Amino acid sequence: MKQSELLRVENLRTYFYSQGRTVRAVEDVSFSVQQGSTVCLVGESGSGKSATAFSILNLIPKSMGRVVAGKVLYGGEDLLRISQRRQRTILGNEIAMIFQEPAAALNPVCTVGEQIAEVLRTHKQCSAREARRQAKAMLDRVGIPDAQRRLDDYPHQLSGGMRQRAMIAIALSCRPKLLIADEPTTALDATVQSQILGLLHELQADTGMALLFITHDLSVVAEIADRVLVMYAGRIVEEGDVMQIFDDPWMPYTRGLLKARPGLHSGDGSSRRLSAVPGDPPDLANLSIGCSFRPRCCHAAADCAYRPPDLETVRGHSVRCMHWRQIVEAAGEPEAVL
Amino acid sequence: MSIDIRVSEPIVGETEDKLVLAPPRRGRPPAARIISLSILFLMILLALAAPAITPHDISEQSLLSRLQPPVFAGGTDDHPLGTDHLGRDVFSRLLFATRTTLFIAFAGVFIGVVAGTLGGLISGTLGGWADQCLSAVVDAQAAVPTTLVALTAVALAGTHPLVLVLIIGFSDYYRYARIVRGQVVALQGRSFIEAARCSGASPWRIAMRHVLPNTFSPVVVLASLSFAEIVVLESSLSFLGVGVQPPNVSLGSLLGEARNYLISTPWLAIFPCVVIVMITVAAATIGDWLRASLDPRSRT
Repeated sequence: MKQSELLRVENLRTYFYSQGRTVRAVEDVSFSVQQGSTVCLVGESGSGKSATAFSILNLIPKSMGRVVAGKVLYGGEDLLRISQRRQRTILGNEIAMIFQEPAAALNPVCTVGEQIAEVLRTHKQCSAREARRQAKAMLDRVGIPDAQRRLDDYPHQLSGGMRQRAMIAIALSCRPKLLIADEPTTALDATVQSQILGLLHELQADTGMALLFITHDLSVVAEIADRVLVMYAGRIVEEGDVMQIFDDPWMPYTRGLLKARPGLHSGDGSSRRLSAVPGDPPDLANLSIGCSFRPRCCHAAADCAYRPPDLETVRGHSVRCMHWRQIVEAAGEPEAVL
Repeated sequence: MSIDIRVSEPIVGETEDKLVLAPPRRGRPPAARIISLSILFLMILLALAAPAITPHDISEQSLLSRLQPPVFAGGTDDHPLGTDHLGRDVFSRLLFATRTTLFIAFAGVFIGVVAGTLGGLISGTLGGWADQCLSAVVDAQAAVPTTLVALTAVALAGTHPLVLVLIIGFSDYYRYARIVRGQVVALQGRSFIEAARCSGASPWRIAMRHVLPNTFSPVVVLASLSFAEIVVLESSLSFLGVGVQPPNVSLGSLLGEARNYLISTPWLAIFPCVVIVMITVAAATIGDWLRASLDPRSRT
C-alpha cells in the first residue's frame, strides 16, 4: 500500500519570550506524517514536544511567544499562513487534538453531550437533534457504557478514564484525518492507559486517521508507533522507524533513555538499578553553540563543544550526533530492549 | 473427621439498608435557606400586591390621629402599625416603601451585573490597550466613594427615579467587571479553552460559551451580596433626601422622616429598619446557597 503524506513540518522554529529572555523551545524541526500512520514525538519534559504540537496548530498564545520560521504543509496549504477563518474550519474538523489532563480539558459547566454536539455543529451543518444522536453514537463508539445517560453528565461526574474517552469522542466527532494526542495517557493509571491506547488503535484502524502522539513514555511508543521522533532541547536528535529506534538506537541520548526504562529481569532475582541519564536538560534560553546534549553525554569529545551536529540520515534513520558510528561500534551488539 | 462447610448467610434486605448511608448534608442548614426564601418571596409578594392590600392611601393625612401607636401597643385596628407625624398609615407606607426599594434594588443589580459582566468579558478577552483603558476606568470608579458620586449625580441630573436607578446600577458595576475580568484572564490559560480553540471555535463563541458560563458562580454570589448593599445604599440616599422623593416612599425615606421622632415614637424607625435587615440577611443567605448549588463540582 502506497502511503501518501498528510502533514509535513519544515524547519519549524518557535521561540517563547519571558522576562527579556528568548527561550528556543522548537528549533529547526522537520518531519512528516503519512496518512493513517502513527508518529510518536518522544522527549523529556521541556524538550519542546507540546510546543511543536501547538505550533503546528498555530495556537501559541501571542503573549508567550510565536512561531518565528517554518512551514506546516497540510493539503497544499501552509497552516501557519492561512486566515484564522480558514484555520477554524480545519481545526476540530480535519485536525483534532486531545490533551494530557482530561479533567482540565473539558468545560466543567457543559455536559459531555453538549461539548460533543458543539464541535459537530461548528463544523457540520446539522440540527441539534442530529448532533445529539451523533454524540450518543460517539460515546458508544469510545466505549462509554450507558451513553444515553452519560450525555447529560458533567465532566466531574465521570472517572478519569471516562473523561479521556469523552475527550476522544469530542476530538473524533468530525472524523479528523489527523489526531494530535498530547500525552493523553500520562494522567491515567496503567490499566486505563492500555485501554485508551487500545481504543485509539482501534479507532485509527476504523477511520484511517493519522496519529501524532506526544509522550515521554517509551513503553507506549513501543506499543503504538510506526515512526519515532526523539526530541532533545527543542531539536529532533533521532528519527526512525520504531524498530530502528528500539533495536538499534544511534544517538547516545536515545540509548540512555532506553536504558532508563524499568523492565523484568530473569535469573537470580536481583533487580538491575535503573541507569538514569545524568544531569539536567539545558537552559533553552542559553544554549551553547555545540551539541546541546554534550554536558550529559558519556561519549562527549572535544569537538562536540564547538560544532553543532547536523542531522545525518542513513536508510531513513536520522541522528544528530557527530560520533554516532564510533559509539554504536564500540557498544557492539545492541542490547535487546524490546 | 468432618468437613466444615460454611455457607455464608445471604445478605438480607435489612442489612443492606443499614449499609446505605444517608447522603451527606451540604451547605447551610436548610432551615436558614427556607426561612430566607420565604421572607424574600413574602416581601416580593407584598410589594407586588401593595396597591391592592393597603388599607389607606399613602398620602392620606389625618392630623387628628397623628403618631398613633401600633395595634400591639394600644393602637386601633384601623392603623395596624400606627400612624406617622402627619397621621398617615405606617402599614400602607411600609408596603409601598418595600415595593420601591425592592424595585430599585433589582433594577440596580440587573444593570450592574449586565454592564459589569460585559465590561469584564470584553476587557479580559481583548486584552492589550482596550483592557488597560477599561481597567483604568473601573479602578478610577472604585477609588471614589459611591455616596459621593450619587450625591453629585443627583445634584447635576435631578432626582428623577430613573436617574436614581442608573446611579445605583452603575455604583457597583466595577466590582462585577473586576471579578469577571479576573476570571476571564485566569480561564485563558485553562486547557479546556485551548481545547475549544483546537476544535475550531471562534473567539466570540469561546467567550460566550466557554468563558462566560464559567464566571457565573462568583457573579451570582457578588450579586446577592450587593443586592443587600444596594438596599442599604438606596436607603442611605433616600435618608439623606437625595433618593426617592415624596410623595413616593422608600424604606430610606421612611427612616429619614422618622429620625425626629426616635425618642417619642420609635416604631416609626423600627419598622423600616426591620424590613431592611430582613431583606439584606435573606438575600445574603440565598446568595450563599446559590453559590453552593451553582458550582457544578458540588452537584451530585
